[in-house]
Amino acid sequence: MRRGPAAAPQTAGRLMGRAKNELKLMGSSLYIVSFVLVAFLVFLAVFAGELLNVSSLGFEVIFPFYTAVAAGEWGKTRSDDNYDVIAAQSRSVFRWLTLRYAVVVSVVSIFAVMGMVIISAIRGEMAFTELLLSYFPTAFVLSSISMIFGICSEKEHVGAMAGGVVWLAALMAQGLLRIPIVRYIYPFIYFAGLRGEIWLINKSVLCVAGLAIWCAVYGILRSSFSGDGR
Amino acid sequence: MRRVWSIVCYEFKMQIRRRAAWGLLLAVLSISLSDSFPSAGNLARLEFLSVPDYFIYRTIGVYGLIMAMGLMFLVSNCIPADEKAGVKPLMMAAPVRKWQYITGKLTAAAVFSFTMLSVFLLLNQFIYFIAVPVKPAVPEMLLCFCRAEIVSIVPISVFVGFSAASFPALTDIRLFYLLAGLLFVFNASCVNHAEGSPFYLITSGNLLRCIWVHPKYPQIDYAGVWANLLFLLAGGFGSWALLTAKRRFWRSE
Repeated sequence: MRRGPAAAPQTAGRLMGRAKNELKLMGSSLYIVSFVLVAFLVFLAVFAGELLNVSSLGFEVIFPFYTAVAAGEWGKTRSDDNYDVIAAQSRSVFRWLTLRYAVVVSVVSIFAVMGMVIISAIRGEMAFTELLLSYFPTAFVLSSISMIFGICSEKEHVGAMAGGVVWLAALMAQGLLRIPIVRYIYPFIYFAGLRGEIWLINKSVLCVAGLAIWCAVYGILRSSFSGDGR
Repeated sequence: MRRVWSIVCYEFKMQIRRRAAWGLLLAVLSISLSDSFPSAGNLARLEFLSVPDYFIYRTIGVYGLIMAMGLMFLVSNCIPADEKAGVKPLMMAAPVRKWQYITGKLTAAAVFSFTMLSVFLLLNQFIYFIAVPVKPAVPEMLLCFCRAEIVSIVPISVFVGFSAASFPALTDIRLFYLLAGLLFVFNASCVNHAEGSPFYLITSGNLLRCIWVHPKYPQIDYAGVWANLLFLLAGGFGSWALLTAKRRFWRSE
């Protein structure tokens, strides 16, 4: 049966209801810790000297790491105590997982955007759009890595650990930028000081990599459950 | 002390059996060898790679940090998991005192970190020994390894094991990850100078200069070495003291 136009607001309402439930489950610590991070970055922006580029450090390096940790910790999947019940009763595990991920990342991103507005006003090192572009693709890839490891392991903190280890390994692999191909996949390209056309290509490649990870998530769920990723 | 020892043994067995720990070890080992494997290209790129001391210096300083971060995530759950699984109330009902439980848990985390870092270093050194064109003497390699264990791996393990196991019991685990992440980002982006490094570096501080020094700058800043050692040990034992001092951690005191 085809859904009529009246079904759309109903679906949106149901989705909002589920998103609100997810927010309730996450509790207030998500807001408190996110606020602490923004406050720390603002403090750094005010008191750090001219030698430190707080904007790129804060929003291309630190905030994406935090997004990955948040996706692995607040967006628990297989390590959730109720995972078996959810897997047995929900219409689609993939949809549930996507919604949980979207809710966590949205909350963190709202705080990130607030921080960007304040810090770009204080420091003026990077334009707001540049900050947005440097944050989202990197955060998307790292948080997706957390998610994929989260669905592969029943143990807690494995997702956050994977995201964190990849983040630190990438941060320390800055020397590999001497190899031309690495410039297209390096997640902290602005922080590493590379600008120009390569910057936009790099961020586009990261978005594609993030989407590829989500395809892999769908594939894993599809192979774990019968049918369409249930 | 027998009770502390029992807790250490059980906790260590639990940690060492985690597949994630061995997965982390393999991942960091492959990253490390992709950079420092003594191939002709790498030997030409890295001036001192043929010196075993330098290889250990580089392995601990650069890749030990990634390993330390992974270990931090792995051991951070040891006390919250006990609370969640209901083990802690059982411990509280048993004739185990608060300090015995905390000391057992934190020591096990430090011993686990020490074991993983030692295995990591040993495997690196073994592969290096097989692959390097001019073979160094085995006693020299062993001496290097022992020095690295005492000078560097022990303080790193105390810091990582103690602080990562105790802070999540003191505060929100996510806040701890965030704070640890900030410390690691400053560690990763800090450039080493010949004159010395900041005291807050975990794996690449002045302590590492006791393993290898650049021939151009052979002097060792001993004040910096002590400051680095003090930071690591005080960070570890200080977190133990903080948790022991927390009043609402154990049954009503």
